[in-house]
Amino acid sequence: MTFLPYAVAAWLFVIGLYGIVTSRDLVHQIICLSVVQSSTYVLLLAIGFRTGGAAPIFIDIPVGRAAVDPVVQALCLTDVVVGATVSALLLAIAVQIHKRTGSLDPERLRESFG
Amino acid sequence: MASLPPFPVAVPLIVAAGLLALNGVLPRRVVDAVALVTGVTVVIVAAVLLHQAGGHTVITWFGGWTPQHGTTIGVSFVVDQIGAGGVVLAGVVITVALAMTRRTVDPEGTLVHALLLVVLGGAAGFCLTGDLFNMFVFFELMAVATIGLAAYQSDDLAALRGALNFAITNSIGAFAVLSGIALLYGRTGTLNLAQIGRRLAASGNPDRLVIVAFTLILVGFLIKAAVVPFHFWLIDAASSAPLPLAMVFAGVLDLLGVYGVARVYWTCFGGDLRPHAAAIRTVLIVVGSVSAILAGGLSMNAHQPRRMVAFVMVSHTGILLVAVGVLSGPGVAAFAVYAVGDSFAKLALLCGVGLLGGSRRAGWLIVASGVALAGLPPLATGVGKAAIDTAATRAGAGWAVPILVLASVLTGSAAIRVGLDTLRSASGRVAGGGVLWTAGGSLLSASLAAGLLLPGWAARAGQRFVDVGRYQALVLGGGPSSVAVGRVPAVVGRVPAVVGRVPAAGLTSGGTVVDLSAVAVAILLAALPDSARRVVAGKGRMGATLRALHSGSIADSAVWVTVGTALIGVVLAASIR
Amino acid sequence: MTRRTRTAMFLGSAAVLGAFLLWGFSGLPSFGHGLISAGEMLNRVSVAQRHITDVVTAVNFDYRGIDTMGEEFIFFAAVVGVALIMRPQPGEGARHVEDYAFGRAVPPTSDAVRVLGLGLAAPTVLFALYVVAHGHLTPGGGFQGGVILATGVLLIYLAGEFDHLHGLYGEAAVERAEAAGAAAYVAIGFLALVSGSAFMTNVWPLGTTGHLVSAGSVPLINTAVGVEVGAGFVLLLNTFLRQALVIRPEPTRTPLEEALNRSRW
Repeated sequence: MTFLPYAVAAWLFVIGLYGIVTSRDLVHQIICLSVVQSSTYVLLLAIGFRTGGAAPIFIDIPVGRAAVDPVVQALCLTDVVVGATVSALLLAIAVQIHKRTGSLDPERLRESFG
Repeated sequence: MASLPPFPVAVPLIVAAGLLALNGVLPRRVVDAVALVTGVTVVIVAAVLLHQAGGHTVITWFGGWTPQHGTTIGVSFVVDQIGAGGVVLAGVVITVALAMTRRTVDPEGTLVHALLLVVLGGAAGFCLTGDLFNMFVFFELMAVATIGLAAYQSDDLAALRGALNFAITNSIGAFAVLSGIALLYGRTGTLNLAQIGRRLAASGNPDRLVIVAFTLILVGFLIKAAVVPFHFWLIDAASSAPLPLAMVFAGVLDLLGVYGVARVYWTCFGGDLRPHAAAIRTVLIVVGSVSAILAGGLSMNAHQPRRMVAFVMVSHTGILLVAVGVLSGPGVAAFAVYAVGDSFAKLALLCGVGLLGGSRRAGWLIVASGVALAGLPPLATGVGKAAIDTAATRAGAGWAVPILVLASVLTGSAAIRVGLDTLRSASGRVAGGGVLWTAGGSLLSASLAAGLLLPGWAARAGQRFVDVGRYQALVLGGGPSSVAVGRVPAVVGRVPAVVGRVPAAGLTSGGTVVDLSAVAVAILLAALPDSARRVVAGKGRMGATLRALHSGSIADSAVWVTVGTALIGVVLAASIR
Repeated sequence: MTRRTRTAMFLGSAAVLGAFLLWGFSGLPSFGHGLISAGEMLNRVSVAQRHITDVVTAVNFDYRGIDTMGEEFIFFAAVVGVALIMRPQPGEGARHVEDYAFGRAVPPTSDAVRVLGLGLAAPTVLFALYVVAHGHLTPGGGFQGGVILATGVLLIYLAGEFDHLHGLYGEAAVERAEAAGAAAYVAIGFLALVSGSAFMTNVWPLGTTGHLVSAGSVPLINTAVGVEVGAGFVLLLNTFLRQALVIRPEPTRTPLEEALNRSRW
């Protein structure tokens, strides 16, 4: 049971890739990229977890009390920002593609170039 | 000036922010000037750092957070010669790209300049940092800024699709790197390159976690470098990108991907994986060689000049990967020399292609670049190529040498052919394009100068780069904050004499012969009539299949990433036991 | 590649990849029992060292401040990139806001939405300011607060019309605010250099732990980041909405032709 979080991370990575590969809609592909990204969140946070640890906020608990790892949480925050910004850019590109071609189908997009 | 290392990163970033704040207020000329001055400043600062690093590696701990109780808690910049050299190169490339924006890009206020400066800041940080997660952050910074640059011609469907492919494939690579970083943090509890290296080496034989982490980080950087089979995004994006962006791809991104592989291997895994270096060496050299030859062949068949350049980029990045993949000091030295020459040659080629419009100048520039790409000594490409061949042979991978030579013959001849075609169809003097012509010419001359001046320096720099023990001692053995860096004890300060006579990464007579014959063959090949070339280039069903694969589908790209990762992972897992 | 080939190739290699990942992950310390890491050490020392109680913020803005500077500029680059990608092309113009559905009277926003939106807008902005200001004490900080701030603007749009947003702010001013926030972060880093310490050292007075004014430069950086992220997300919002509602191809057809064309959407 203690392996479950890591298994979930691996699964998310692979299933997100599956979504990207088999997708028929650009927006769906972009969301699947977010799924791949969320596998990194799960992996990071699972690595930082300490059984019985509190959140690393010491305003109401004494210093020295066991807490989870704050570094991975900070890394996660950075990861979230990176992911959000890439999604914004991708969605902007998708909007422009839709404007030019009237469709969001990646297959259609490819065929127009051969 | 002990506090210099942050400048190449912070200055372009703050100027970029300033340019955005003054968007629409400043006239175009002022914006151009400010951006160019910033680029030049970064190059100068980086050159000073380079000079300093020649004496002793410069270390800065941000925020003054030196290691406490034996654990690194802050982020450090560790400026050695190769790193500082990388910043100089990136600075030059981006300054050239900035100079090109005036001529080749629709003025859009200050936004394009701001993004190019952000790329510069990111590249500088990537080269100088001594922290693994910091590398990831700057890696992503470069990528995000480049996506904006790639897609901004939003009425060009090809450009949009290229940008999309680039963004998605690169992000997958980034997440792979991040997963690898997470694994290493889980094993070692730290993010500092030197400390990870020390702790991994101390924990004995590399086990599955180390193998998987190494594979993931390697694959992530290889995606950025765009080697086969992770290169599809570059073919798409570089073919349709505006000229300054193509220059960024050619001169900065690919190179830094390979640099990343080298840096992370030596600092983090060099100790732990040393007994298995042969396996890793084989993997890297195979990937590099396949890349070089496949893309080289495809560059001959490319329909448009820009697509040809994209294949040339992939091919030569393969050659760079082989240089690093040899896993030795001379290999890294050869990488440095070849990288400089190659970047300049590719940029010159792009200048020539950008000049296309029937002028004879463009034709000559392209032919000259093609010759440089084929490896004419004593340009840095020729010298570097010869050095790579030597290093590979000495490391027992001599079988790769003919492949690399053939690859540069193919790419060189592809470029030369485009140049010859241009000359044939040139309609006499077409005025204009002065900037591009000047830039192209200067770049090629710089390539020549580099070939003459670099090899001795590169040999020492390469040796320093692979000296892991020294790196770790410098960073961890009482690593001083930047204020005290001048007082680093003399025993680790100077390059110790015990390194001895390092052979210069230069030309041997055998290497010169090989280079010159390669160039000759390339020119001959380019001058052949189309029917003969078709035979040589092996068109037919295989060619058609290969071309069909490069149709620009994102899903295809993602599949190949998965296939490549699985393949490399299985090979490494099987051979590192 | 045909779809079938691609899917087959993918499924095969994905199975291998998945197994590979699982194999590697099994080398990790078991869940919940990680080894002593840099993070755990920070838990013990950072409160005393920096008079800060939210260690995650301490890591983000103090110990690893240069990481966050990079992250901030990633955000900056993305906002600039989106603005570049979505700018009006030649052949397009900014016309007045109108709905795509032709020949249909757009119903006005329902009263429930208006009340809720307007009612929540001000508390949301206040909450955002609270989150930014208290980032070093409790969970929160510049990024989180900035996003909440932008949500307040979104609420106003939802309650009203797009035009109302223009009464609220000028696009240029928001752009400058974003740039100023980004520049301020780097400037604070440089200020440390001026006082003789390394870049981005926390040289400001540390104050008393647990109070609003403590932890040195962290609240300042938080504010800069909050301004940048808030302004940035407002810009993003604005850009997407403009693209959807305002930017249209310049009319080259008669109104009838244009109407017939649009009915195909």
